Amino acid sequence: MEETGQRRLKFVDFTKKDVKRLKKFTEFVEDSIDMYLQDMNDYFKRLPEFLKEIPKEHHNRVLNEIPKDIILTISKGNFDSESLAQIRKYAGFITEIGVSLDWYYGIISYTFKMLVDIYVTIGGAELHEIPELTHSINKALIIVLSLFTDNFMEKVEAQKALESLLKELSTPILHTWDGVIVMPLIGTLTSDRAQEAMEVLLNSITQYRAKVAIIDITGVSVIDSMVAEHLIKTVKAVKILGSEAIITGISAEVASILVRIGIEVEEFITRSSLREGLQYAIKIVEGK
Amino acid sequence: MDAAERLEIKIANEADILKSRNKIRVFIMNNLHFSLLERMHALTALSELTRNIFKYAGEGKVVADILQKPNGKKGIQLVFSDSGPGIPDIDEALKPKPISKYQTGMGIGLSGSKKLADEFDIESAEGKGTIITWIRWERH
Repeated sequence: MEETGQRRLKFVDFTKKDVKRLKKFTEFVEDSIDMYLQDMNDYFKRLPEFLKEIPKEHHNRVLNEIPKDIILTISKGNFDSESLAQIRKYAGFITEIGVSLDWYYGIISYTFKMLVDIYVTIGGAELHEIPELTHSINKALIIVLSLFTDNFMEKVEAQKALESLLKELSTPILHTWDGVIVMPLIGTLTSDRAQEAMEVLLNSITQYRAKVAIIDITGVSVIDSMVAEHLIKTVKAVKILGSEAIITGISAEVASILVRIGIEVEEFITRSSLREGLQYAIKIVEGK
Repeated sequence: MDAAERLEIKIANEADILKSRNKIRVFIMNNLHFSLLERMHALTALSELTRNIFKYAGEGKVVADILQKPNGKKGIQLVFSDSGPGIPDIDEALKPKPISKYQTGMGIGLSGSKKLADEFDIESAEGKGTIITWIRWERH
């Protein structure tokens, strides 16, 4: 973390010179930031992002405390590892309560623009100092942006991890009886998921040396020809492995849909409930 | 909405400085089409000049009026008045000074306030109190 902090500063070439340039501006900001944030609160509160209901208990933190801290950090040019870590924490908090980071970053840099504008207008800087001051401020804003982006990337990674976990969970295999495995399918079967489910099932058959695989579709919300096709493929593949597939949990509606689609009854072994499916499966296993 | 077009605020202590800021913020939002930045300019000047009243005269008042040009454009006029010691040398007072040398509030000074205005006037003499007129017009 230390190194990335220093690396960040090096990357934008933020040096003691920049801190020096920010010094007078900092005094102005320190004196007036509370007032300006108050002014901007009205403006922020009307933005659609904000109207997306940020809970009232967070208003002060989101609109006052955090911007103030970040803005003071930027104008002081104080980027030690502690402040960098703090800004990342803020980014985390902001995303947790459901505020989008790019919107929030916009708030911060917009506030900054305002402060610089007023400072420049009222003559706080000599004319020749203005480009340098703006340059230093921009560097500092980039550092903050990169910290926000870090957090965002972390979130993206976390999201990916969550999605793959979800995938795993949604294709569970239950090993109920010697030689019998059950795969309860739940939710909407997309093509991806159906493909995934088939692969998982076939692997499990090999892994557990299952003679019978029960596919329970009680929890599948939508049955269409695509899903039916996948089921047929799966059943055929299971047969090739030398085992039997039983489909359970077919409701009356699903049955009529399947008939309408044109599925041949002989292609499937079916039982209406999981319980019956298990009974049949055990008979097969013990019979063989 | 029926909005008041004149607002008179007494400045007698430090708390009044912030109160006036809040009142004028609402006053502007109700009566004028100022952008956020323009509003902030007005409030900055207001804070500075009310602080001057408090610091140098102890008490005074600010009167806010909505002005209207013949072409329909509106603006805000802020008149700051006090019966304090007055400004002996107005030209000197209006000279821009480096910000950090100021001790008052944000230290933008008279010159800073003037820069934020479209029209600016000072009436003052030693021992005779001070009247400062600050005007800012809508841009569109």
